[in-house]
Amino acid sequence: MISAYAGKLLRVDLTSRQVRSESIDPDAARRFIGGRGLATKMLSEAVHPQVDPLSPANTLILATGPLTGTSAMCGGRFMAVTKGPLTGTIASSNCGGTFGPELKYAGYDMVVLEGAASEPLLMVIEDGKVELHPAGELWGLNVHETEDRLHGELGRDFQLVSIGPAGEKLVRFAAIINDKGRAAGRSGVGAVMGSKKLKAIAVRGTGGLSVADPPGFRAACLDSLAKLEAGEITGQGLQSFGTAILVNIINESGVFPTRNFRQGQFESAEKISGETIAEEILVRPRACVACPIACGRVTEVRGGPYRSRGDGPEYETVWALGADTGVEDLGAVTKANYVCNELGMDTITAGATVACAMELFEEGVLSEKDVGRKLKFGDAEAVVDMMTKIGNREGFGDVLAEGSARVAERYGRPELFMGVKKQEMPAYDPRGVFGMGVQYATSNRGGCHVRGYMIAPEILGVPQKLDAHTPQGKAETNIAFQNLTAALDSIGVCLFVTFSIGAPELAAMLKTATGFDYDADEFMQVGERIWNLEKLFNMKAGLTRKDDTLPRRLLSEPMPAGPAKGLTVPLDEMLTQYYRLRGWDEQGAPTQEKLAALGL
Amino acid sequence: MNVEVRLFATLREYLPAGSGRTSAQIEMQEGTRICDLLDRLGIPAAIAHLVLVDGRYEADRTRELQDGCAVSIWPPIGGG
Repeated sequence: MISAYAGKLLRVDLTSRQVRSESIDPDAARRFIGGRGLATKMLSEAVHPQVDPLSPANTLILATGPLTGTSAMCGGRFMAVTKGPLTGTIASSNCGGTFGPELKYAGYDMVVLEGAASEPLLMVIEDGKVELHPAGELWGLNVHETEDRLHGELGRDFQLVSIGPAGEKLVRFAAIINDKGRAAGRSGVGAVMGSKKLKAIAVRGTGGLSVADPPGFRAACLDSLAKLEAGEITGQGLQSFGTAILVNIINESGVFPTRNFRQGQFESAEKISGETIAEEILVRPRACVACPIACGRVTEVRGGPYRSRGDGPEYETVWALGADTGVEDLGAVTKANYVCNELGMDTITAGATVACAMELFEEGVLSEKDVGRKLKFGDAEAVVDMMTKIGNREGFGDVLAEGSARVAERYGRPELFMGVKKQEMPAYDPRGVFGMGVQYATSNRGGCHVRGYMIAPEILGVPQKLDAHTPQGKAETNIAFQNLTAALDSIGVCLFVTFSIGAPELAAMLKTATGFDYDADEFMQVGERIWNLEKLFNMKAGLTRKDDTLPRRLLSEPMPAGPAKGLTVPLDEMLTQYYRLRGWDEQGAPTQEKLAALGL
Repeated sequence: MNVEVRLFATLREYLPAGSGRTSAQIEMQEGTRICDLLDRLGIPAAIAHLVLVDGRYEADRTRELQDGCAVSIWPPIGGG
């Protein structure tokens, strides 16, 4: 057995209800680590990239990394990897909470879900014992009701992942939720779980994990922990103000997308900022397993029509449900976030899809008759209402449940979809932050910020400030960030550690935990291997260079006002450079030399 | 001349008494530089990580401010 891994995966054929345990292949683990990397390798071998993502031929893999559940800080993560129903690309979505570590303590690094059940099922894993139970009584319950019911029946020691009505009803951006408020949020992984009729997985484990070099691992972890605690961002900032501390800096920099990216500044940004959240609705910060950062927010809206309590909102959410829809009411934004958590769906795509529909409404393309109500920018009640309707596929929510690419296409205005590869972009307008433009265009899972977070250098000055308004040097930095993140998503540690540590520290923890002789260079090369493998999957799924692009608005409509006034994204220049530096041809295909060098 | 100062996150504690949630109007002498403003507010230079003047990043702390400009200052922050 390899140190730090549980050493086994659980393969479940939901069609025949057969379950078997298999060993983790040490050679594959060395080359792809675990989590996103190893699951992508397994998915690529098991699933034809052109299958219908919501058919039984698709596979859904929940995968931890070797550091998940160890004493490495922020080591509570797992990935959900599948072919995505929103994009048709590879989908891999990261999640915190308690499920990942518990799965390893129960004896498994991964759960590989194949086929589809004929009736709703619940999977219960307890220290190597696995059972599938009919779950008809759970079907239809929201995530919170499901967790409460299962904790009541099985005991609080069980850790859970589940889907809500959005996943059951195949909303294309449904999430898999852990601990009521932690989501494998993007790319519709919850819809794939719903298509397999698997409502939830409950896991309990009492086993331990051993590392290859305990003193070395302890020293490596303490070194990283000290850097995290000494870092202003990871030591204090995120805990005090959450991720929404970004609202004001992004808004003042003129790249806070407003009203479906029609503007780059929201006049009411401060009302939905991290500072305002901390003053008005924060109950306490919340951390995942082994996390000293605690970016999560437990909040309570204490009065008014949106009175309630729950998890969130974080930065991307206050943007999607706030600025992007023109809503300034923090109570409404927060309530809409709670509804997304309960029904189990991605707040970014949900909010951005309503924003797209609002623009269609204001353009006169959609009528009150189509929608069943008025749908104007700034209508807080409409946003909350549409979240409920989308998650339950009620009325016009059934149309919006397809995501904004399909909505804009359906109504003859595809240019109003603000995303890439059918997935909506998050909370940064690349007209004023060019590196984010090439990152969005090349992200293997469509519009996404956590594939290569160019905001860190271009806006936040981490690790050093780059000029946000020049294309120079952006392809190179973006590639490094994409490779680093792909490797990081494979070890089981949270992306936020990279505000304070990098590849040398991560490789040191990985080496001492697994006994594999990684260094920083090999760590980055594993990330590059994973990135190229994801790209190959997408090419076999039918994607080409024309899919590596941005909405017309960002390429040809200059930013109307603010610090980025007059700018559009010079994508072609950055993309050509990006392909060249990646060792890909002019059409964005990895060359044989590159694949050979990576052992693919 | 008048300058609008906006302080965010943990820097809000350096706002003069009677300020709004994140901003204050401050009267300064002509020729005041960014570093003079930091001194006036008592903000240690090391924690004034990001300085934007009218939305544009300013690395040069000796730059002179203009009447009516807005200076926004953050400590190191992250998120996403």
